Amino acid sequence: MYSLTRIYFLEAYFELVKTLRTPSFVLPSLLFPVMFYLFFGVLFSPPGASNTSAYLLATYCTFGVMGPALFSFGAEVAVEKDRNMLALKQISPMPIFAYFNAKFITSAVFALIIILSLFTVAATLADVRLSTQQWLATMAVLLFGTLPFCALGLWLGLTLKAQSAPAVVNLIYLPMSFLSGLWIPLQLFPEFLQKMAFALPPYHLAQLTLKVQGLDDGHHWFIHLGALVFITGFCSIFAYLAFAKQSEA
Amino acid sequence: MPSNRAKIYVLVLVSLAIFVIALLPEPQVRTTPSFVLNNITLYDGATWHENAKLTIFEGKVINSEQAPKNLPTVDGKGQYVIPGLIDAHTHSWGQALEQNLTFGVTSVLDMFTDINFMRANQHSRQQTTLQARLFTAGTLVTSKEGHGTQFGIRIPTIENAIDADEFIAKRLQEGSDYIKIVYDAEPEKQQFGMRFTSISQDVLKAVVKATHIRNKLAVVHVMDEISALHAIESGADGLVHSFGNSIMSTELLSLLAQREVFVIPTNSVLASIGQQQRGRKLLQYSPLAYKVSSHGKSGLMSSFPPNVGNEEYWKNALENTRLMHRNGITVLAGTDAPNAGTTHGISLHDELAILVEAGMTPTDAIHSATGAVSDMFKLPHVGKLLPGFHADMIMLNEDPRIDIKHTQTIVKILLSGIEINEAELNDK
Repeated sequence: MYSLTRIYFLEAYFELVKTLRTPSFVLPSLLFPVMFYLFFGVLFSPPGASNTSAYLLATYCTFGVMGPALFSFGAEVAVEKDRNMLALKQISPMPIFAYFNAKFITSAVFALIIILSLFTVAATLADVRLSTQQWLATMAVLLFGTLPFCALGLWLGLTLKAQSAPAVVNLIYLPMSFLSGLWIPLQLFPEFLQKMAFALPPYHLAQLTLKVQGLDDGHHWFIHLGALVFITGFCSIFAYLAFAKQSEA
Repeated sequence: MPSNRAKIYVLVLVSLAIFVIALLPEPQVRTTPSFVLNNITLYDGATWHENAKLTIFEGKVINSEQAPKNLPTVDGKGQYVIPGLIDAHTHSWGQALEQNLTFGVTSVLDMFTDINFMRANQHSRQQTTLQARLFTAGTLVTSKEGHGTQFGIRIPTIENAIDADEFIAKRLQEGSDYIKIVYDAEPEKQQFGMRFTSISQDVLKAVVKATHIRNKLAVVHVMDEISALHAIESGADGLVHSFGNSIMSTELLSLLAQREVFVIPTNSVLASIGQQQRGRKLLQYSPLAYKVSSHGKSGLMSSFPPNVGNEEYWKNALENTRLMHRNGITVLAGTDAPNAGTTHGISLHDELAILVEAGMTPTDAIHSATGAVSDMFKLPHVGKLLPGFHADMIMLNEDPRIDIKHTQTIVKILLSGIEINEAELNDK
């Protein structure tokens, strides 16, 4: 009766319900991207420059989907680890992967809601027009694009202390977003910062998302995909090591 | 049971996603029409035809014998039909392409724009959207702190001839349709109250060569006789400015003719440098003045500071255009909009008027903004109303052969055969 899939399913469901009942998580992660896009993509966008709005739609979506991934893994895991919730999950008969899967599902659901609300704002208030394939492709790239940030978040969550985790995650999330050109197009940055962006994961996700509309910087898609796969792998290894270490304790 | 509720949640979420995606708007794609336009006086980009008909099939001109039978016919009695105009020297951003279209300028040759604008708008030249078709040099070729670097767009620059090959390969990879090079033989002298560095003639030669190897055109921005001579020696296909600081020498004129180098004098901006205030006059007298946006008006009203040029400068510039035409040099119409005193669209009609003042017949002037541009820049689909070309055209109420200002008596603008609805354009 209690099959493995059902365990995975229930764990994800309860994780999602728990998160939805946490306003300090829900409100910032859903409202900030929309609010920022309204300010920079709609209100301050120069009149008639409809592709600015389309460009910023891609970058603010990237900014939006990173948030839940980094926080549900980074901050939440740190807290649950320090409160011994993670240890409890580990000694329960549930496979521990169900716990991480639940976190991933939760951040994907949040990402989806963020993407859909930004799409709606862009289409209604900023006159962004894309073909159905482009809307779908943008959504797909962004949903898969949460993975590297889940991995990064997990590594941070397993390494950091509960008290410091939210602050550290923010200190990584916000400057990294800005320096990857998610808030203001990278072309407006000094050249050395433009070059530096290449080393930042959000830059690569934003470029892949922009590629759907042909507004990217013109590098090959496999460079960006490669960078994202590399980061996912890199962070996963360190997350695994951190997990192994904390399981011993 | 939570699992049932969970299933409902999953269902709701998925259907919400599908619902939102399905409702999201797509770009308007217009179906290109097919029809026969009868009873017109037609200029096809090369010659005039009285009592002509034009067969349009799916947005393109076709040979009437190959047309399917029973195409709808449109009576164009009393109308003069000429190809949509091409401005051979503009700088595009913001609403430039929409603004051009409002004035019957259905294609533009941009001579430097932000590559993001290029990427976003270049592809749409094959489709039918509410904008002029964009052909562009993309990023221009200039030296560090050279002309072109002062506009706040960060661009790569070139210093050494050895880098030319890689530099040009990069531009063409970005999507430049042709290469525009800025060259000044005497950068130590101030021009127009500003001082810029310039690439050397060696770099100019190397850049032209790298462009020609890749079968693209290299056009050069020069603003005086000596730089023009160097550009021609270096193999330039065209010059994108004339000048007014001296009268062209016979040496320059014969070299231009001999090497078949075309020139886009950009009289509109040279007139503005020479304090002619033609933009202001356009606003007063052009029947198209009512279409000029407030932004366009401020462009037309503005002028260069009086210390950069005077009446003399303009007289020389006009004389140079006259000399080039008389010596059989191909002169193309281009405005350099939106420089001071000009704006997109309406200024090209004034450029045609200037070309007639410089001694061209009205037909020559129209040719310089249609068929000649198509020939010189090797644009196979725009600038003519011959089989295979886009059905981009303007229909005029009065005969432009009698008075070039009649290009401003526009009744209809067609892009790929689709009548441009101005209300819709302005709404955008």
